[in-house]
Amino acid sequence: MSPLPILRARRARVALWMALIGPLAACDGPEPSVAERAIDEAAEAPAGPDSAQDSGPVAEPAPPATPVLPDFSAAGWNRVESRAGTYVVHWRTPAGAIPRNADFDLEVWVLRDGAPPAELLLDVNAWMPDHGHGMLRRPRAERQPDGSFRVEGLLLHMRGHWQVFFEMFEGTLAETAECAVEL
Amino acid sequence: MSAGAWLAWLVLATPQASSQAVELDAAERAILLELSPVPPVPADPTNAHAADERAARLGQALFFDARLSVDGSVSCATCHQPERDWTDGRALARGLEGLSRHTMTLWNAAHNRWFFWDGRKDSLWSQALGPLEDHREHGTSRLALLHLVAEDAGYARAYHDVFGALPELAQWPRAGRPVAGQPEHPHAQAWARLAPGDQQAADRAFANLGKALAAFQARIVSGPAPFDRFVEGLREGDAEKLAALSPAAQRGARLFVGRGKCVFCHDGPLFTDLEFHDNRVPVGEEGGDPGRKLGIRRLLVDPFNTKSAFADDGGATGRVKIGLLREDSHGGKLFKTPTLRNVARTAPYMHEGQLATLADVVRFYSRLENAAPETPGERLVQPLNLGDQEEADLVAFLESLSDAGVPEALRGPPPTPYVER
Repeated sequence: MSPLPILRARRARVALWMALIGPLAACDGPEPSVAERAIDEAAEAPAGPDSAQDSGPVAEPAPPATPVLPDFSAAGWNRVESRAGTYVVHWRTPAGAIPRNADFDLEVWVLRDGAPPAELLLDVNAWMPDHGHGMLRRPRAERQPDGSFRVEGLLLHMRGHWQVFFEMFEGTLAETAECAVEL
Repeated sequence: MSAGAWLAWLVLATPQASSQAVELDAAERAILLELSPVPPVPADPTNAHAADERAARLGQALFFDARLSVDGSVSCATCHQPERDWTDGRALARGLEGLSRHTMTLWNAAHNRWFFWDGRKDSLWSQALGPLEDHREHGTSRLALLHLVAEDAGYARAYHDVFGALPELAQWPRAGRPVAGQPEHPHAQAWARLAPGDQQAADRAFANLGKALAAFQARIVSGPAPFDRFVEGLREGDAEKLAALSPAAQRGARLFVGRGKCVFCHDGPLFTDLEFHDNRVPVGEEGGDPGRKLGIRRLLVDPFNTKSAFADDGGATGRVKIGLLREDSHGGKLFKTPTLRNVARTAPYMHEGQLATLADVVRFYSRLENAAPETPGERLVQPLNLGDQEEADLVAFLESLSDAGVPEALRGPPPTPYVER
């Protein structure tokens, strides 16, 4: 979908802001790495189901010990790092694109040191900074047996510039990754 | 040719300065292409009878029948008059008594995500039930309606054809319904005398009447307007079709998707984002209508919402639509974005009918005179500061969204409430 001309200057400012703060707001699109590398990294990652069970209630199922990661370099995957760089978020929509003003789901993989952390909670939200409002929904993120998250109930009801936030909570750690979406 | 370099020159034959070619850039053209045509009516999984011709016929008969009110004076068509494009021409609606909001048009109602200005209903069939029992509108009750259907041979046959047998209601009170917070109300006392199983059967049959009304209203679909022909011309490069819009309307179209920012809320072929906004329209001295904020609360406790047992998809729609609804993001006085299809024929405007003409509406957004304070955080509605000609151009564009009018077949009750086999 094409942007409104009136938004171009605003978007340019947003782009400049994003460039200044670097990965805080960047959404890189498909990354060059291949799935095999991710699998290797996952195998070396220290986190596992046992440690998750030791640290209190687990709201979501833990991922398998050696999760099989998708090929994030394939078309459709987007990549963004959390602000402090602890997590890498890979996400895609099953339909291939985010629709405007229609329900959509996300498949999200959150990796720390190349693997999905065992005890991780995820919130996904979105905001229109130009308008001063967000989504009218509270999406639900559900951990899948393979370690990914399925996020349902997203709906970006207006055209324009959206910021999509992935908020990760792991023990006492909380970090946010942010992606820009133009509708 | 790259998208960025694309320019559409709409060369018109008239020589006046105000009718010279209108230039659209690629972004403007792309947005305009998204605004037409009106898509088919979406399926409603919560109403298994939405596409049933027999249900629509029954619904049409019910829609125009003033017996669906406590004193026989009010039908759905009292406020939703077909000759007035399914509105009533009043600033504030009036059934048995005056109401506090303007009547919304029914054009393309089946496309809506939420119903009423505050979205307190989340399906077309559930919406239809509300006014029937509102003491200011029809003032009747579900038990009275079911007796009417059972005792009218045409209705009884039509109901049976679509939904099967009516409950055995001969021994039920002649009128009755739940009345929240008023246990002494005669309707509430009569309702309380029904066994729980009978109450459930009555609720089910009452919901069915709503589903029949919804099946009829799903047929209230706007037809092609000059704007749609213009968009066809954009798509096909057909100069004759492009001329369906006057130069003023073309300039207005460009404003609509550009500097006017109208398209942010009035988006898509129905010219609505189907959601809620604080448009800062002037409110009365009381200013007490909380809009969506209260609408959500009412929706959540509505026994006929899409999470209820009466939704024909087992609550699947409601699980997301209501279950994931964000209750805390509606801080201000938000009201639903109305469709702009046929808007030139549905004056007055806004949720309290505050603005009499389209020119008033455009002037309001241009200057924000007497505007209500902004909802904290919301920055969408700011003065557009349009010139007089620009305001007139926007009005001309809005007038180009009018179709040929209500089809004759929808203008009154059908010959029978049932379909002959």
